[in-house]
Amino acid sequence: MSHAPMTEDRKLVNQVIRGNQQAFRKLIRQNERLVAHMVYRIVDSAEDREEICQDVFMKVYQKLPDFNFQSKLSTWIATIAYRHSLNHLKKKKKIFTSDLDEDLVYRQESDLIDYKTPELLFSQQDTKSLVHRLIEKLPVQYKTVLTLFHLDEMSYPEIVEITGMPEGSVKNYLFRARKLLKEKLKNYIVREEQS
Amino acid sequence: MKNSKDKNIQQKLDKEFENADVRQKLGEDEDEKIYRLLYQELRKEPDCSLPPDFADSVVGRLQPHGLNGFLNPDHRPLLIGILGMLSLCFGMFWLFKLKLDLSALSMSSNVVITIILGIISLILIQIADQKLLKSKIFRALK
Repeated sequence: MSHAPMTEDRKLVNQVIRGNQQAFRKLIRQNERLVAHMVYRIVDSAEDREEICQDVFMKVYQKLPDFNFQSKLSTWIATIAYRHSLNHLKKKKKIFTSDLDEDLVYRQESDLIDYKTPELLFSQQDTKSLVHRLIEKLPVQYKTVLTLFHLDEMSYPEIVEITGMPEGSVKNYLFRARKLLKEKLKNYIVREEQS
Repeated sequence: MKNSKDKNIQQKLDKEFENADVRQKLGEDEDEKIYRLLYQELRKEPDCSLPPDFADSVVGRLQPHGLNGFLNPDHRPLLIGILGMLSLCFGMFWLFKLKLDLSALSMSSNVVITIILGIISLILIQIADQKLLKSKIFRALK
């Protein structure tokens, strides 16, 4: 692994801690895409999302003096974004701590299995819209690992660090999420070909 | 059996995904084609862009703390204004050679106690305000 990004991170973090607001702006711009991915995938309320992203960076600012450079800065920020988004869902009673148990996660798959794709989406012939609509129906853990792995191109150890899930669970959730989506997409394509 | 087929396809595509190559290939079976399409879709950016002034909004929420906060660029005009006023006052005193009549300060002890109590009250209010405001911000962020 290259040490250059870590050195860059260290320089930037030290500037922010010293009160350089321009450096903090730079840190936000470098990581806002990652935070937005995480928050937008986990939190379904559109009006809360931007504020949650802001809160994540406020927390980053407060906790930055405690950052010990044991991981990449982006991984650490993603961890804060993940936990903050989950706390928001718990506060809004959208999920409970027990929902994060592995057995219950598998039971939540039924939300997607039972989901009837709206006619409008079929007629739009827009696979991207369909895939993103289907992802919304997945359990939180599935959405998170899909986003981190495919969109943010994170490795398994990084996903483990961010989510705190065992590596086996990460791999399993990723496999099951993709399989569920494939089945739904297959139905869609078969239906498209028949019509 | 079905799961192991899915597993094999996903492992194969994960390797290709690392090499950034998930293009459609000829002679694949139905499931593999769909997985390939799915992988391509999963890599597409969702509609979740933050406003262009997002970083400024976050920085605007920061509470200025201590000297660093006071010396930040946003507070420079205020600092310049205060220094300007002080310079003007000193200039006026020097220019008109005003002499302070310190006899006015020899007040009764009651007045002195009242002034001291007033100053202490102001300081306490400031401290309480800072503490309450700070805890409110932290509560909002938790």
